Amino acid sequence: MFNKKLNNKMKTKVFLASIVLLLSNRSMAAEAATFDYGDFDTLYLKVMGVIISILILIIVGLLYLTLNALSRINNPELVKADEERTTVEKLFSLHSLKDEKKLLLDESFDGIVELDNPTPPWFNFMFYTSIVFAIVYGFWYHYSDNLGKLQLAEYEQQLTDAEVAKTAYLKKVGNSIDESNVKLMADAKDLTAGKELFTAKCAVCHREDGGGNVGPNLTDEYWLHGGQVSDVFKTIKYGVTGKGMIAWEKSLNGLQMAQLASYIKSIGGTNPPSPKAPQGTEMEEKSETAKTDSTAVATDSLATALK
Amino acid sequence: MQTEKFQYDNRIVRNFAIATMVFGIVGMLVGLLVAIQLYEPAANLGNQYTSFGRIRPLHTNAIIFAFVGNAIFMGVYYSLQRLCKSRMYSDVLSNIHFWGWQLIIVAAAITLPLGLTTSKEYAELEWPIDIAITLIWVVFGWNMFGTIIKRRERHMYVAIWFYIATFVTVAVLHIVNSFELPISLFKSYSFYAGVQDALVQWWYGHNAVAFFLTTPYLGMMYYYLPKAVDRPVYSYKLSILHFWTLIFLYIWAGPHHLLYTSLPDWAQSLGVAFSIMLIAPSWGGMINGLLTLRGAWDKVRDQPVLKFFAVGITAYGMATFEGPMLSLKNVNAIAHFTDWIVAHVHVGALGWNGFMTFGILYWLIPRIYQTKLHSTKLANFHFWIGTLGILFYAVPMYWSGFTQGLMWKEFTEAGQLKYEFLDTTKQILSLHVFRSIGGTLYLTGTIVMVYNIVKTMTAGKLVANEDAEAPALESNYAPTGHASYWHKALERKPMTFMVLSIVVVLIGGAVEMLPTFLIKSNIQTITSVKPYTPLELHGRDLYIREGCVGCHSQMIRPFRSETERYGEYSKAGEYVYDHPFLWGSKRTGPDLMREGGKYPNSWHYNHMIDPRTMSPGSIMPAYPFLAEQSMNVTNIKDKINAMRTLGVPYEKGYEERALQDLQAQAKTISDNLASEKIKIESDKELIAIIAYLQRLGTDIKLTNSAAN
Repeated sequence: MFNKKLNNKMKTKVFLASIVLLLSNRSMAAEAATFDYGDFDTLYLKVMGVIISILILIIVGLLYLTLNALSRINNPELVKADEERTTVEKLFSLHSLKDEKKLLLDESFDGIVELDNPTPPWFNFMFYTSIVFAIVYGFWYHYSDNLGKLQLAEYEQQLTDAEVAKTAYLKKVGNSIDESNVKLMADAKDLTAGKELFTAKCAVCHREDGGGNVGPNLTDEYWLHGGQVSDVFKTIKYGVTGKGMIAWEKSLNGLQMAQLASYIKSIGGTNPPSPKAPQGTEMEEKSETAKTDSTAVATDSLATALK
Repeated sequence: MQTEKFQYDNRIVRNFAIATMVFGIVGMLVGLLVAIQLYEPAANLGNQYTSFGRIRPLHTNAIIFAFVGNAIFMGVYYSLQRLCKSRMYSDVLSNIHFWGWQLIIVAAAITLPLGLTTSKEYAELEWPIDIAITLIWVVFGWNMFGTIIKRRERHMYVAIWFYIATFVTVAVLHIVNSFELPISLFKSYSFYAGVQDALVQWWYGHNAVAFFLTTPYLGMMYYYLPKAVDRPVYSYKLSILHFWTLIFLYIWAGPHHLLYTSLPDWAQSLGVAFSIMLIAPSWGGMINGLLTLRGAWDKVRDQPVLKFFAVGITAYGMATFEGPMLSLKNVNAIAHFTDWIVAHVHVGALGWNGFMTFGILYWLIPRIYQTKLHSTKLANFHFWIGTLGILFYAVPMYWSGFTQGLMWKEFTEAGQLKYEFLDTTKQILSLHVFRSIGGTLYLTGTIVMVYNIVKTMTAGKLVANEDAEAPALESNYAPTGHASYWHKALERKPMTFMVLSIVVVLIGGAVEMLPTFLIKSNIQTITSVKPYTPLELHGRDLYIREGCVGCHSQMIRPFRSETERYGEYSKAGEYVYDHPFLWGSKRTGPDLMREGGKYPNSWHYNHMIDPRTMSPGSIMPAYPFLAEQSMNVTNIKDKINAMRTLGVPYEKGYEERALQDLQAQAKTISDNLASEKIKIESDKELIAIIAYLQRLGTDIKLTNSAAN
């Protein structure tokens, strides 16, 4: 008995050791990898690694204990007649192992014999319940429109709910920026935010310095879709279908698009090296000075709300 | 009563066992490689033959048809002979079966990396191989029924019922799903289009799981488990109930792979309802297995074979409970297209198929080699490292699937999508690293097993022909006692049994598929949807060749989170010219249903040459070779003709102008790229891919903008 326990302990140690080994391998792999893990990198990885390992250890441990515990069930002393079955045996409507001989069928297949146990009542119960569930499910979705919504109705509902929530939210945070009221921003804070967005979203096509690559040069005076800040805002917001400019309204908010448009206007005339050839019509630069007015205040409150 | 002497054929069992081990290792190695590619694009090894899209089907096919397939034949050939008290019907057929099957596997291993694929999941092999599979499958069935008919055992044991159901259903599934029109030796178009193709494919795909990965293994469980544990099978009546309900209900559940798609609502609901009803019949097998172990759990602790069986059966029970849960609409809305599904199938494949196979190998090899297993210790090590492997695989994948599924759906308060697709990809990369560690552990265990088995084989000597004897069956027989039970009559009549199981299996498929084919209203036509131009069609074939569908869906479900991200949800009428359908089942990358016009040609060019220039952090393989390889347009005429035969309305005589149109369209694209300072000749494959991508989903986009 003692030996057995010792043996178990040893095995547990081997497990622990192998998991530690695995984790160290894992971090080596992470170092070797060249890709970007995003903002979550090391801390997230470590926390996750620990949690996953603990989870797995617990499962393996339980499995091990179960196998150990189950082996005791079979103790001949514990085998009782039908009348003296354990609660578990009664619960699962199992016959007593002692009475098994009565249930043996009189045929064997390559030495395999079968018992004439009935299908367990709880099994039948589970089966019937699932059938009832299936029938109710069918009725729920197909019998009446007032019960379950089929997918398109569900979709319409989603859109309506979202619209309501969005309107309520925008009402709460105050004014929102769109193409009708967007103003050129000159605040360093906004331009920095605009620059960050530009690097993250726009640089792959328009180049880090705005000189143009897949997308047009944004630093010259030529504009395909208008060069006023409201035009740039609109181009960002709705994109240009068919020409490859993405519509950003689904992933950027009004403030962000205004910051972006302002930043783009701010890099006009920077003359980056080897720019893309001019596209579109030339626009005379009108003096478009940023004014600090009520919108700017509203903008700030929106910015705070969005944080 | 005359006792007859005969011999069991163990050599064929041994051969299948070796094939099982060899292809098990190969399949798992390829699996490990694709797993690493999912966080380290460099693991695509810089050439087209080992890029993810091409070798992911190699992994799935190797595991399903080579590893599990050979294991089934191993298990069936050993047990069937003993349950029928008869040698296999014909040694010639046995050998044709064995070598034919291995040749098919080799053909698959060559054609898939070459990009010769139909793109339909688990049915990727092209038409000549499909025909070969059919022929070899018939050989298997012929050999099996020959053996059953000349049996010396009055009744067919439950294992044989499952073998019969496996044989007939896989035959039906394979033939119906492989209806395709060849246009050259290794290229064909699916006979079905769009929604219908999807329905047929997932009727096949789901039931390939049922009748290739489940029923034969249940049959084997009914033989090897009671043999190994030396206990009576728990309940004969439960066997009958769960066998018939399982095969009847399973076949209906296919549409649960297509929830929230353009498949008609009624078909989706049938799929869900029948999936729920499947819980009990599936669990019938698990209950009968686990309760057979009752009274022998002490043996489970000591014998690795039983440990593998116990965990295998438990994994089966878990996977078959999870399956119906995943088919509930609200769960499916999160889980579909994510790693959750990958976790689910691997609990089944690694736990149920893998562990049952290992248990059978450990039990069977020492017996046919008349020796003891080389090392019980190593087998125990295999069990524990395999179990750890499954957990290290499954837990991170569940986590990853759940994380990504929720991130896709998350909105900001201002009503905008919170994450871009790439954000969600980066978030789960580390979990993919864990998954590959799990896979490595599991593979390590398998290698240890192969070593152990080879040592066992070399220590013993194969009893190629094992002596046995049994009395022949008497012709006049009157059932008495237990044998007069109603089901026993069926067990005496293999042919009736076979016909009955076909009928039971066909009902579900017929009810779901026929209306979709016959009733027009199920797929509404959209007038603005036009056939692909020859260049787009060629691009589509390249998209198929590169296995893009393995990572990119073309199915926008009607969820706000998807229509905001990808555009208008998909309509059944948009797919009417899609032979085959390319809806996909996993979104490792974003949906491409409405990719057309989203980016300029130059973006696509740069992105295909090196995805990370346009999407920093992307894990997509690079496709520079597409810019170097010229299109092979010699059979464009045949393609147009084939499509017309399948019902695509190209006008009469169009095939003559097709090449001209193709070249003209290619020229516009290369000119457009030239204006962006990108030099590429118009006959390169990349041009065709760009043409196809720019077309995707635009038929409806154009109508909408025209309406505006």
